[in-house]
Amino acid sequence: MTESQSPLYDDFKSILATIDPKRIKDLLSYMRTEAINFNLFKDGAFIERKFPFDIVPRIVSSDEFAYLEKGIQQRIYALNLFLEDIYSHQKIIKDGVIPADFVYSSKAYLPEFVGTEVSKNIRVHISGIDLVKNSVGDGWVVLEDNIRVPSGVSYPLSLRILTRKVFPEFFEKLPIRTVLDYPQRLNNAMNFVNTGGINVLLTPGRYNSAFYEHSYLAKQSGAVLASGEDLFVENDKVYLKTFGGKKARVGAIYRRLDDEALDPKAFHADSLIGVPNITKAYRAGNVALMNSIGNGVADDKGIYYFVPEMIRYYMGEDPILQNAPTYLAFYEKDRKHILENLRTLVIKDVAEAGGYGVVFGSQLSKPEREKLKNDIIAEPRRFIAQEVIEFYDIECLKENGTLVSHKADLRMYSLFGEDIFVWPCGLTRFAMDPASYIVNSSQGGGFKDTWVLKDKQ
Amino acid sequence: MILISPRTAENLYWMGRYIQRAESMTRLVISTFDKILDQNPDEGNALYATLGLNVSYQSPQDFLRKAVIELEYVSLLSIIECARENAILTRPSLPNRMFSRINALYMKYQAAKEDVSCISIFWLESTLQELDAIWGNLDLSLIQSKEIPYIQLGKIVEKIDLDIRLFDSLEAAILDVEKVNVLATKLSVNHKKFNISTSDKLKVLHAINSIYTNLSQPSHEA
Repeated sequence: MTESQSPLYDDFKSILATIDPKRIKDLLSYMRTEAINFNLFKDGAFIERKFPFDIVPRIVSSDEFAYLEKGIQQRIYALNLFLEDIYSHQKIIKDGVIPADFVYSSKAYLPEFVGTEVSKNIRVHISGIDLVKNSVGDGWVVLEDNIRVPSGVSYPLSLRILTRKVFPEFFEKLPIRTVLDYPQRLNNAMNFVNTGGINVLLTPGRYNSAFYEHSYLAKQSGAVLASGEDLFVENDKVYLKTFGGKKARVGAIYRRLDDEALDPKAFHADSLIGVPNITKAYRAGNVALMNSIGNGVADDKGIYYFVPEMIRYYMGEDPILQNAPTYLAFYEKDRKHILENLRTLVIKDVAEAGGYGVVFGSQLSKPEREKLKNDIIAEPRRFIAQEVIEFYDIECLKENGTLVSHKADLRMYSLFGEDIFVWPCGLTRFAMDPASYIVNSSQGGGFKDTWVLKDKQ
Repeated sequence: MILISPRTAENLYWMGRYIQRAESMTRLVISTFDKILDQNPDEGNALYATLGLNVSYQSPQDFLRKAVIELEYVSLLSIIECARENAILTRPSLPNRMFSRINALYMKYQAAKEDVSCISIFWLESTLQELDAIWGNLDLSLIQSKEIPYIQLGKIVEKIDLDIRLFDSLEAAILDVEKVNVLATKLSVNHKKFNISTSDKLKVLHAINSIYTNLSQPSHEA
């Protein structure tokens, strides 16, 4: 089923029908000139790649956004409380809500950081929640919480800025909410937790897939774009090396590196992109890291299963947003169900990300299925299974002017500073192959802007 | 204190050098092609010999293809690619339009690599116009940012370097020395005034190419 065939899209389509296709080429050319890239590594080679996009946006009504906003705020608040708890008293484990073994066996759980306090008790500063809209029942379903280093916010933002220039009629005639203040809000969130000093965006470097985004967000938010080699730690404080041999104290770091690469003294010794001893400064409370170290334990695909319980436990509320029906191979009963119904389920390796390690049971050969069964039996903590969700397609405009439906999800971003701000936009990712369900950018998927409409009042 | 990392400062400086190099080399390729056409078929060999390279070509058009696309490190494409690479690394520090123009120029050369038939003197003259526009973006940027002097220093150092290296002209270099001193002083109050007080071109080349390194040393804190 195709979401963009609903009446919500009628006004958009009637304006689109009046547009000279040459102007669409102008937009394409504009995007190319701006080098809005999402790079890939393929077969060990770096490929500078334009991030494919489509001009038909996802359109979200004001009521629908209000619902998503509340649900995401609730979810982020609970995940933040969970992390505060897991890295301190671990009450949720002691109260038997989540099995201790399940948490402790997460590769992303870092016991050495238990007892480390963070600025303003915020750990989930920047998040990207992946959702799909189920065509059965028309409800939104959360597929993943990304609260380590979620990427993608700059792409719909850049597309929005260029679309406004090339097609102002959409913004003149449709009540679309503005989204241009995201960088300022990011800056506010950084300032809120800053422990004294400048704000820095720490990038793995030029050859990271999202370097465009790092560069863009640094410029727009006013943070200094720095690589690991630009920073150093002295007396448990982080400094930026500056031209001429001076140094500037750093108070907040929006890091775009995974935990393992962040500090070669604490994690992978061979990391060339990290900052030696940065974790010491973090432990001493002398720098805010956004997001905090060890967040991976909360967005582990297995822990995802427990998020609704976290909301009930910490907040005493029912979850607003639903999870996809999920089975944990860790639990014997669930494992039995998974093994018996492998053909109808999606199996996910909890250690993988970016669309890797996702297998549709229906697409496996018999030997592949047998191998997967054996893997699940051998390492049950490594796998979850979910019911296949028939999520909506959204149309994409083809060169010949026709609209073709593609599967599309939605990543919604939020910033946790003085309060939790849910951005009235989002990265709508679509599968390049109309028959595919895999929308991830790292697997060649494209993107769309997401237009949230203003309240009719 | 200038809040810019040494790495970014160096990338800005080199971006300025590469853009200037693209401009100077484009002018030279145009004038050399003109001479190869009907005055001296070996003029292209002489040009690259000043850079220590032995380049052979079969025809004026072949010279043009090599100079624009094919020669490793010294083709206009290679130079523009280096300018663009430094622009990508320093994008947060650049005026938006300046970055877009550099990237657009690179894309134009990438397209020419796929279809060399578009390359002509007229085409190269449009490159000069685009380079003028890039410098214009820098000069006319409303934000007089702290980063701009690094680019301008790279530009002027490259110009002096090429004046000496390619045109054997110390006189032209002397005219630009004051500009170097003004920019270097912006980057470091401890900059020691640079003068050309010898006719030994190698010594001058060494001195002019050492200015940036000297400025970046800790003793030159601004």
